[in-house]
Amino acid sequence: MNLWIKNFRVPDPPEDLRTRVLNAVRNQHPIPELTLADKIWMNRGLRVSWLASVLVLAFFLIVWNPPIHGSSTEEKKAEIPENYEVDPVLQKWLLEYRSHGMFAQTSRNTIHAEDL
Amino acid sequence: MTGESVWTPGLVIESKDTTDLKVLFDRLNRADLSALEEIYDRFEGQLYGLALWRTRSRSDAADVVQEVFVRLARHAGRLGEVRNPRAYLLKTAHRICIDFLRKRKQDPSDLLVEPVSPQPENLFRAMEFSQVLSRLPSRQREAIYLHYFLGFSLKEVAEITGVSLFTAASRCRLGVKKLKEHFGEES
Repeated sequence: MNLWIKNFRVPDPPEDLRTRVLNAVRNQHPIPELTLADKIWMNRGLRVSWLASVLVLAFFLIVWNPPIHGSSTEEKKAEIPENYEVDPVLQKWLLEYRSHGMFAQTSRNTIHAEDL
Repeated sequence: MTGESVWTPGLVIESKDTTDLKVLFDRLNRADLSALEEIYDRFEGQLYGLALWRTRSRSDAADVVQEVFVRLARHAGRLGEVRNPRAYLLKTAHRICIDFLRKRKQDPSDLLVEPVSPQPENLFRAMEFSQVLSRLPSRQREAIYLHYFLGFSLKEVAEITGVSLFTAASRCRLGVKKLKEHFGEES
């Protein structure tokens, strides 16, 4: 092995490589320091706990579907004062509209006379 | 073979301590990109040699060297403490070589060695040596280059290539055995 090393050498790099590399280096800018949010996100434990929190929240809202204060129809009715004078048909539609939510009504662009 | 080393038959001895290099890396850690120029001048040959022996392509080797320095520039200021700068650079080159080999579709075979004295018979022997080297697995070739040409200890070879000491020694031994089978014990 020693004989080979004495007799042979590894080829030199191309002459223009130095210029090429240093030009490429000059065009590089060091990556800025990580922000606090990045550092937190890089922590696997915190990332997992964040994901777990999102899943728990999703379960809470979608699967369990708890009654949120002020959102049920009965509560809506209770919010309307007794002396509130409004057209009974309109009131009925309004209550129905609010109890069914926006999703039930968004497909209807126009309100026909018979609806009122 | 540029760098901080001097040649003795078959062995490279460090002539300068690594403190200079550590100072350069400290400068790099302070995002001082001018340190890269000095690092390049010292390690250009070693990095190019490693990349050439691993990829067997001069153009790929040049790209690997460029990528090493681009990555250093990109991560300047965030390198942390580098205990062995020389091994660190070669380890980076080793990893980039692997990336290149994964992406590559052609299988080039440029000359891996040149004769020290440009006589026709030496040139012929260099071509023959290069062909035999090309037939070795790239990992064995890389281990031989690091251990015999650059003078790294087997422990350092293991560290650079990311394998155990036993594996590094085994690669060297198998590679040299194949070379001896071809060239005979006289080599």
